Amino acid sequence: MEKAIIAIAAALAVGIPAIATAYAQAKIGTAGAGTVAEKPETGGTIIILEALPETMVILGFVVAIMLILRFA
Amino acid sequence: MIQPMIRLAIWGVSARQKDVIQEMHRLGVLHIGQGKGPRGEDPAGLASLRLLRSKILGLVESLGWSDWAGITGDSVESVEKLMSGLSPEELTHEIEKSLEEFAVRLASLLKEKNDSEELLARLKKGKETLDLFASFFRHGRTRESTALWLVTEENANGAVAALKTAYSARGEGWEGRVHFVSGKDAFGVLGVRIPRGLEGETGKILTERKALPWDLSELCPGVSAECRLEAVEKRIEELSSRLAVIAADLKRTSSEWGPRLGALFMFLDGKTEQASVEAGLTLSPNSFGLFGWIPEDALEATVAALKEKFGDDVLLQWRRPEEGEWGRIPTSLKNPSLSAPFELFLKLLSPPSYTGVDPTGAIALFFPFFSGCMVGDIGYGAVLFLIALKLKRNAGEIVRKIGSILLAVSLWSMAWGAAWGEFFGDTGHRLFHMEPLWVERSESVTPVMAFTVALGAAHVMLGLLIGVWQGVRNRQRHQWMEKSGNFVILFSFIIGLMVLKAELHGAFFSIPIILLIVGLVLLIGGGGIGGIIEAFGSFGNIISYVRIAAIGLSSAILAMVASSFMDVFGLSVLGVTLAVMIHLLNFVLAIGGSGLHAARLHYVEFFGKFYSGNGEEYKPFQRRSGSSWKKQ
Repeated sequence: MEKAIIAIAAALAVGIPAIATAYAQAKIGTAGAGTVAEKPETGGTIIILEALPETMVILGFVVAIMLILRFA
Repeated sequence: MIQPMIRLAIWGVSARQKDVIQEMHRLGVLHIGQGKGPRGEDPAGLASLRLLRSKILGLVESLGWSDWAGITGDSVESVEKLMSGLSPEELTHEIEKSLEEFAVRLASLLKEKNDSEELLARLKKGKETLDLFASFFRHGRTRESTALWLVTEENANGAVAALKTAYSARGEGWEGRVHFVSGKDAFGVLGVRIPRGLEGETGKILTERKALPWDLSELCPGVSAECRLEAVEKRIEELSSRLAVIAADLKRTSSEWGPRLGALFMFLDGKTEQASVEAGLTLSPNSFGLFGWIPEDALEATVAALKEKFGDDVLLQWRRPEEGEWGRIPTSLKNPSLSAPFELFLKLLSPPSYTGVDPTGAIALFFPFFSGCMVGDIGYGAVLFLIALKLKRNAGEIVRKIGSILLAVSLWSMAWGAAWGEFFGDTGHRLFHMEPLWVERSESVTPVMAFTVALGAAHVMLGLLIGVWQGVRNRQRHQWMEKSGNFVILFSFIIGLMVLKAELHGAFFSIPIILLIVGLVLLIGGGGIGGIIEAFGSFGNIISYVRIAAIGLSSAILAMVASSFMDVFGLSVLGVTLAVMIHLLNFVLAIGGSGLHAARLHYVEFFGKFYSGNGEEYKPFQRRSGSSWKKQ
């Protein structure tokens, strides 16, 4: 039972930031596509901007790993 | 490294103005930055030169030719020799005259190609429909007439019923010689086979049902309906052959005329640029002045070349920039060949200011290190190494630079792969009993994470140190105080952690506390309350480096999953195929993800500590190479 709760906690630690990241990337991607259509030379910058929200899911992933390693 | 620049002024008599501009264009080292003198009018013929340049570009694009990189300086110089001594008006006239016949021939060829392609598309569409009636036509008897009609689906049944009624009334037998095919927009094609002589009556009945004859007469005129399919097929064949001839002709014309027109375009581009510069010169009735910035190491050769060519006809003055000019000096970067490809990263930002710091060396050091740490697999590194070597042999300059960057990443990937003990995941361990030199990252997660955070602390603190140095050098008190305060606070936390970890006597805590107080004073003195927020941001920045471990871990696990398909399916085709496919996916993700995140760590975490990208790019007045004019 305890292991199941830890697994759920780890899943939530990754899942919720993943949803947030997906939402942010969708917004940035939409705006970025428009920007690149207007100014193709901004492509590189847009790719970097698109990668910014990934911090959330990466840190969520780290938290999940820590939860599993420490408690499971 | 940012090259020191020199302000160069060239004064001369108006008679030598054109020659001086042409020579400076040839030398290609002067970044023109004019003074506030009166601007001259555009030279006569400049507008027509620009128009002609656009026309030639239009011809080049119509030819579908794009090998701009293949145009050598020699080919442009040979055009220059041919056209030397001509005024812009004469130049325009000569080139227009020589291109007139070619332009007409090309236009007619392209028109024929477009018309043929359009007709071919219509014929193919028509054939698609006729194919559906192939057997209907085949079984047509000579005493019968066949016709196709466009009719709505809802009227089709009514039309057929009306035809049946009409023929029954005349005593003609109706044997179901009708075929309806549904099409788009509720319309379909109705094929009707009727005894000859009844075409008029049939047409009347169908017209009443709002049907339209679909006879394709415009595509194959004068052909009876029964023979139409064959006629269309024949016409398609003829057109396809003609199109192949046109394509071959265009290809030959493109390879023959493309380089000539390209060289002509480059020549005209240079002429237009020279004329524009000429118009922007500071003028007096008998003399001119040309001012600009030149890299210090190019000064000697430039001065010698100008003295040799013009002697006393020009007066040259040069000096180092003054403090008030710093904002207007262009930034020219010069780095050793190993780190120069990493200048590519700065192309996404505005260049560093002249008094700023060129971070290329730091990027060359850290980017492959971080990226390689994330990939961390000898097998993937070896594959990347081969790809990088291939890219380095490419003709494109940017592709070659990317190849050099990937080469560095691949070497670090292999080095980190040895540290983590990974060769295509755990395949190395399974086959060769390979052991990690340091730790297995899929097992020892915490040490790897701690290492990446320490790496982040070092990287961020290096950025802060550069910021301090930049602030001191540019005498910006706020900057160096804020950056040094931030640095000291981070340092105090590291010392504090060390004291805690080493379980030293409590008295040792006074060192980090004193450092913290000093840091806070510097931070508030330099950046105020904003400085404190900046300090919190620095901690966030350091934590962000944990992504190196996280992305590396996910890559290692996916590689192990790929290899485990061999356990599940054994050494079978399915097992090997699945393993290779997952490895391929992981390879792409590892290379893409590691590059992207290593770049982000530089742009956001590292550059944020010192980089002020408000410089002006050094753009020497010279012949533009390749297709760089496209960026204008």
